[in-house]
Amino acid sequence: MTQEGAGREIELGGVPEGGGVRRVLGGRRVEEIVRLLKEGEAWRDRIPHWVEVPAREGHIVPFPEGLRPEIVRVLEERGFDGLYAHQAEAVRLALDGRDVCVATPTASGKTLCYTIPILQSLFESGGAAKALCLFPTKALSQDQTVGFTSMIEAMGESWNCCTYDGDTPPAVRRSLRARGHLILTNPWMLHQGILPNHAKWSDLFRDLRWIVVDELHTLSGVFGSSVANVLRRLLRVARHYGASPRFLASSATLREAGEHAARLFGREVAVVDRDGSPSGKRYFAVYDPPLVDPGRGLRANALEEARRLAAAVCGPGHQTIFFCRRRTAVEVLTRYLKESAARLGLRESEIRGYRGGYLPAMRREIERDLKEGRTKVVVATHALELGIDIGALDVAVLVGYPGSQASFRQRAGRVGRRGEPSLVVQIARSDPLDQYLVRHPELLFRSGGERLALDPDNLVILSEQLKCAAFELPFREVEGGLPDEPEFGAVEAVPGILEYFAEESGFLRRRGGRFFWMADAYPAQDVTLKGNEPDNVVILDRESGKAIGEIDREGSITTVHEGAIYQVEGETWKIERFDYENRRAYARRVDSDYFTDAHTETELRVLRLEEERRHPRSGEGLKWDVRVGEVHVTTLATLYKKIRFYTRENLGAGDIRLPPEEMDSECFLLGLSEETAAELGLRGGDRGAAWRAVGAILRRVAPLHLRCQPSDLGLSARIRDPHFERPMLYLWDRVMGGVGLARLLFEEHMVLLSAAREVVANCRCGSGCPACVGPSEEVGPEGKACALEVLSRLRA
Amino acid sequence: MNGSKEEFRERLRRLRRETESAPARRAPRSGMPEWLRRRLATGKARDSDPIREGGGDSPLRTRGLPLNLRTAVRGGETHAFRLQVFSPEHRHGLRRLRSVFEVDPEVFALLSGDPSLRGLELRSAVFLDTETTGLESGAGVFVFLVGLGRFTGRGFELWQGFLRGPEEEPALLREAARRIARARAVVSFFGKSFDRHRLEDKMRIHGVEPPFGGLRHLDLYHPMRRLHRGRLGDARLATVERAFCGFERDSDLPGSEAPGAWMDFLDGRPHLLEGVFAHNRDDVLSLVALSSWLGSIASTEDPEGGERREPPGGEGVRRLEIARGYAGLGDLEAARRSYRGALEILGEDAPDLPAALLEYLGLCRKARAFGEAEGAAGRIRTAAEALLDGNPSSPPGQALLRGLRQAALLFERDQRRLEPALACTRLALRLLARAVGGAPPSLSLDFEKRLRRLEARRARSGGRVPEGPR
Repeated sequence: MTQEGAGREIELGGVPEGGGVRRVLGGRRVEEIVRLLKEGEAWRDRIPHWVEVPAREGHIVPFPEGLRPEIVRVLEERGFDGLYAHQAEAVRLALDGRDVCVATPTASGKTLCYTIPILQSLFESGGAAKALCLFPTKALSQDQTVGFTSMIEAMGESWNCCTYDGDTPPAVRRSLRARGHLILTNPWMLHQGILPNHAKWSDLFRDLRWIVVDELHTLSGVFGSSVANVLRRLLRVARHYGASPRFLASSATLREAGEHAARLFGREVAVVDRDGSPSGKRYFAVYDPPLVDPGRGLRANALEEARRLAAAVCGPGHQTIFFCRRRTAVEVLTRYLKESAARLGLRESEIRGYRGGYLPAMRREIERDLKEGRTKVVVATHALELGIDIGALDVAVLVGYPGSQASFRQRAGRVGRRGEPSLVVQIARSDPLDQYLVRHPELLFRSGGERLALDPDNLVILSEQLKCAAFELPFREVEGGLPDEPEFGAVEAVPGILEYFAEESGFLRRRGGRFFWMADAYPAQDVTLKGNEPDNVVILDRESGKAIGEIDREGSITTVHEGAIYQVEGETWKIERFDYENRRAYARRVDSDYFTDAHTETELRVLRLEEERRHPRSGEGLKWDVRVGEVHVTTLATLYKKIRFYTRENLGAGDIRLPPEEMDSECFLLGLSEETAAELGLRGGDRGAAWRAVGAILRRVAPLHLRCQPSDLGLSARIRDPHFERPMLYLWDRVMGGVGLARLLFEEHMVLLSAAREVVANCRCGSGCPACVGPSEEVGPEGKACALEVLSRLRA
Repeated sequence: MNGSKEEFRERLRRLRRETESAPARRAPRSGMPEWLRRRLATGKARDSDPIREGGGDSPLRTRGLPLNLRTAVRGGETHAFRLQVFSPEHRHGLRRLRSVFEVDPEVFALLSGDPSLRGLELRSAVFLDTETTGLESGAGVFVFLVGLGRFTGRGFELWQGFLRGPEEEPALLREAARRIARARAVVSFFGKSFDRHRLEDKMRIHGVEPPFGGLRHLDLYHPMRRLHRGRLGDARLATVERAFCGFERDSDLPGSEAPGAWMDFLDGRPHLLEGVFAHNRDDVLSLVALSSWLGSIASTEDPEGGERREPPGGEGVRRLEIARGYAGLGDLEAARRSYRGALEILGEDAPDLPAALLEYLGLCRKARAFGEAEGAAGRIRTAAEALLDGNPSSPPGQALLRGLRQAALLFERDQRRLEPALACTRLALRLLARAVGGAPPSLSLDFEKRLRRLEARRARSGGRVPEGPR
């Protein structure tokens, strides 16, 4: 291990209190930063586009009639002299007994929209009412527990608000089952822990008044469809104990938020989406790094540019957030910024990293320091995209486009104090999509946003969830089929599935008009929800045995393999041993002048082909075929590179010896005959890229028909497939065992091809854009025309 | 829904990939990934062939419902049960049922470390054992047989409430709750962790008030496990009843097969059910016999005469457990007395000796009985020296090392004698040096620091330690 560390000694001295740089930069405000970027020689050519959104007045209305004086008092003590119009509307609807979904931007005060109705009902019921709150991450639920608890304490009440997740000790679990008024948990715990053991939670269910679902936009695709079924199960268990809870949901700004909420909850939901919160003037800039290799269109590294930009956008008088796409990038940038703290007029301790995998206590500390203004600069992953309360900041720098408009908006929403101007800088990478945005920044602001897909009635998801539901309570059938209950009873396929389980699989016994679970297995254990399940590898300090961080299993093979440099806020640790089986990685503190970057390879092997359809069925035309089958997908971390900080010089590589991550799933295959390939000129080069574009557009339109997310499908396009020796496209279910998406693709492929053709034909771009086949940098100059030709000529 | 019912099923089969229609899939495939194995295994509720007709002429195999199954109607609900009465003179293995009244009830509190069991009256207790469809918790688990035994004027009455179908669940639970609530205490084997929770969960689901709240609960599993400490191979009821009560089950239906037997019954094949009833009956009778054995071990005489079965560690271990019981209940005087008794019997090579000495030394120091303590410390040193002289590969146990630390503390803090404290510390370090990777580093560190400190003090004081309060 290198101890010398090139360039490490530069700023170790730090800046004395009140030092010159700090004084000079201390007065810098957003308006000045904007002027500097617009006029400064170093920057002005790099930022081709500015978008300015004028300030907006907040719309404040008096507290709703009938709100308990205790709640009003605490809100007034906290500086509220009323509620924003959207908050008041949400509270009023909730107290009228409606299911409510609030879909407004980050930092518009959505938390109060569900806090107030819950507190009000606690008062009205003399402390009997209960609420179950679902958050997409552990961090969020812990954050909200603190918020609720402080409100309750300020009102002098003794209601209990508790987090229930995998970290909750057994003794605490027992007491919160009996005494918790507000239980804050996540969908996985609800699915595997609470619902199958509902008897132990009977106190909660009996008085369950509210179900809070936060960050609704994270519930889509296979994961969202599974959660929709978990919510069906929750409602039927609550009904068993005589409760009929209402939903209080919050979401990022979403196209058709009401429809999405209605599909998730299985009932009509009142939507509140007129944001009444004020905002200062907002500046948006798209930053294009200089070309370093004009021939290949390669631009300067976005992270290096972020480091350069820091000199303009960081300072002691305001707060700046950098968003990186990867954990490693967060660590590298944090280290760079800490090392140049003095030049930024900052102390090292005022610059923090933040990502999933930091230990909870450390995260809490950073969040608090951000909120209280002690931390001036934070470098984060999407972990800070969700609603963790860190207060409003001033400047956001997005290093690379986060991939979706919703995500961009969430990140941008982190800045903008009441009445103060704010700035968002989007740094583009060399990536085609990022470069497209440089040319078309209007895409970032186009109204509408993405539409989220959801299919709670997907047969595989539904039948797995029905097993769990039947374990929890028997189903009662009524004459002629559908069970006598509102949740699953409204789903047409349910009677068939129940009969199938009773008569073929033997999970259920049908007796006296009821279906009883009758097996010695515990079904929820074998049923996955997908999503980023908190299934973690712990990283331990070899010396002290203490945990220094954690990481999800998927990321572990590229982050904590033996030889990896693991970074925490700029400190470097070398992984000496990775116990893959037991999910433990052992690290030793080192002073490294390099970081590591691992590569993975994905391999696809066809195990079995189940069905095949050849086209055209009759007459003349190009020959092509579709199949559905079973594939084996292997993801293997192969090697890692050692990269020197700053210079990015490659210091060598090492092998990674870890078992591959393996998955068997279902796959849809589309192939062209050799003659067809020849006729269409599909031979490689630009035309090879166009073949991939055909796959990409199919994957993009598939969710609309399959009601999944693009990320639920894996894609591999081979212009000359090693097995079939002709062009093949593979689209597979990215869920272990599959949930039937590939089969739906197979059955609906003609519809899908025509939808894809329509999208490409109607797109007004010249030679490809992210909205159709992808930017021409990716699919080649002929990509769009070629893809359109392929799509048009494949006839049934 | 498109097409016929069969078409839908076929679609479901394909989507769920339960391709029963394709037998090739069911044969094990080489290199078949684990998830697929699991998925196929969970594709059906049970793997085994449920039909087990013919073979054997055991009296436990019947063709119809279990004999003597009766029904009762209470509050308009029907439940099924079987009632049997055993004479108090009934022998279960080596023990008569009535011997349970001849033991000192104080011992249950002692051996469970649970003061609430003081004065436990087994005459008014209910002996509880259940059969369930699964060993996991969860709402979908059925308690299909509830065995409740109690002493009445007629003898030992065994009530076995039986679930003839899931629809009778509320009635059975209500009746079981009523019967349990009549008792003053519950006796079970692992029931505090299992049977009680399965019943409570189900009762809550059906709105039946669980009866366990105010009842004392003697769970025989924990004191039994402490008494044999792994020396019987496992801690199951069948194992301890054989070892301590001399009870052998013949043609017993293993508990793990009970769920299948019940599910067969639901499908019209009741032939194994009699075996489940017999198994449950033996379980409940064993609770009585084991209580009687456990109750007898504190006294010098067993009411069953010369037939008492000693635990595997012999009388020494039995007395040691009693000593620990007193210590747990806070009666330190009695605890020290029992420890002395146990230590007289435990041989120098008894596996429990180091732990017993460590605990006893701790108690003596607490009571400031330094003379007694010194004796124990001496025996600890002897044991350590014997280990060093003996087999070099046998690692020192934690108890011995911690005993040496206690001894060092006794000499250094209580008696202000540096030399023996140093001797104990050095002994420990020599033992640790031989323990390759076995001992925790914190313990080594502790002894190393102690050695440095003691040596420094000796250097300062020239071998004498100044007197004075510590």
